[in-house]
Amino acid sequence: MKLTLASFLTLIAGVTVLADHFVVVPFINKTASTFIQWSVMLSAFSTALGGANILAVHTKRMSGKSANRGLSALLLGSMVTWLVIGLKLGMESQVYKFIWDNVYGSLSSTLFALNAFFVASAAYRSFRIRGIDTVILLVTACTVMLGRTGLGEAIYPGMPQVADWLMRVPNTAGMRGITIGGALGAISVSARVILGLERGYGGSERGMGVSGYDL
Amino acid sequence: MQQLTQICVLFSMLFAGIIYTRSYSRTGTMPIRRLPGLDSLDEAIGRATEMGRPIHFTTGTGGLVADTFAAFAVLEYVAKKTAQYGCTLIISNAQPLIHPITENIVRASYYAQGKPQSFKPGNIRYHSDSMQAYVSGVWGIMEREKVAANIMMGYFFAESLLLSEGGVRSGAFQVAGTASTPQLPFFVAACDRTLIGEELFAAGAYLTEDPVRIGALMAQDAAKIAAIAIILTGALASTVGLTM
Repeated sequence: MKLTLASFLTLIAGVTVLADHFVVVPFINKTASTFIQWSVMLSAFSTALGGANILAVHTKRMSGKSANRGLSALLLGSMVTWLVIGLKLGMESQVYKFIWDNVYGSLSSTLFALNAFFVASAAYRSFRIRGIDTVILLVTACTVMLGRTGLGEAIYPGMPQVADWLMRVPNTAGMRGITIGGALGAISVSARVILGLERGYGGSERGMGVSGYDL
Repeated sequence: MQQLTQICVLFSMLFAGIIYTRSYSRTGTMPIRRLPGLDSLDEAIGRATEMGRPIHFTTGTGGLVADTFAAFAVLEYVAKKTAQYGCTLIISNAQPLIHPITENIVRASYYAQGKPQSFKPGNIRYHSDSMQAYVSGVWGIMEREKVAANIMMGYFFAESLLLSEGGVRSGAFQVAGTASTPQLPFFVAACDRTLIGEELFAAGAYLTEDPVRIGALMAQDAAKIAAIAIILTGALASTVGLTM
């Protein structure tokens, strides 16, 4: 019964929101808008569930003999402090903004900046020649990189044009192929979810496998 | 009128897909080409079991999108296998809406394998919807818990390279899958196996051989052939100077 009701509600909500994109019928448009508002509320509620999960996992770790309980204490301490400052002083307060800019902002930028080094190390591993595929990858990547710089043009004046052609023709063709395949797959999954044929996310009232099959 | 035509075409496609699916459910079988990325899931689980170390699974920061629903099928497979072999499965969530769903899937999978006592809710962890905080949390798990395999399926943003390089540094065997084209090169470069685009959406059918999912895959292939035919016709017509 639980699954049937869930599937029915999914069908109603899915078809209404989908129809909202295509038709101008006040009843459908208003209902779809209401459903979207409900989803925002659900999302907000689930954030509280997420917070409860963090509390549960790290409180348990702190009470045990885990070697990392100090880290859990630090995480919970930061979370509670941040929450109290936000609730007491407000998000526009100087203290809140100071922490945001000087702690969270700095840490985020630092972590994001690591991407530059990671790109280099991932590229190095990928470009190690292991077969014909990696040779093609290496030659193409070097051509594009050189073509985007003055050095490439100095070596061979037509290098920028070759790099442009590689990006415009083979690269775009490959990307579009992947995009079309992915979009069709996404439509297929979404249609199955809306029509109640994809129940992998809903669990099972029998507890016998989420989709009714076994390995 | 144009909107009405659009919605009619869309629903006709959906309806055709469902008829295709239903007819397949009752009749024949369909072979699916080998997908090394999905075959390597067993390798990842086997490796983790032999090493006595956990498997890490994450769906990225993408939220409840089609890629994530496709990833749930992979999660279900991995959860059932880990329950069967007694291997620890740790799940990291970045989106609060996905957290209860992943918990539900893993719980049901452990029950399905008759191992409800092995299910530990504490292994399904919500980190943060902030990408940087989420990545830091996942790195922490990879380093502290020495994961043997890292499986990343779903919709990813800039965290793709951060997560996969974190996995490389912890020595994990990595399998990734996404339809997000900007992130695919990072996964291909950093992971041992990658599911590219539609391969992720075929995962459910491939792993479970569920007739409904295989039927939907057939409908997807038919639509792909139609798209290719339309593109070729358009290219040919444009070449000879025909316009609408």
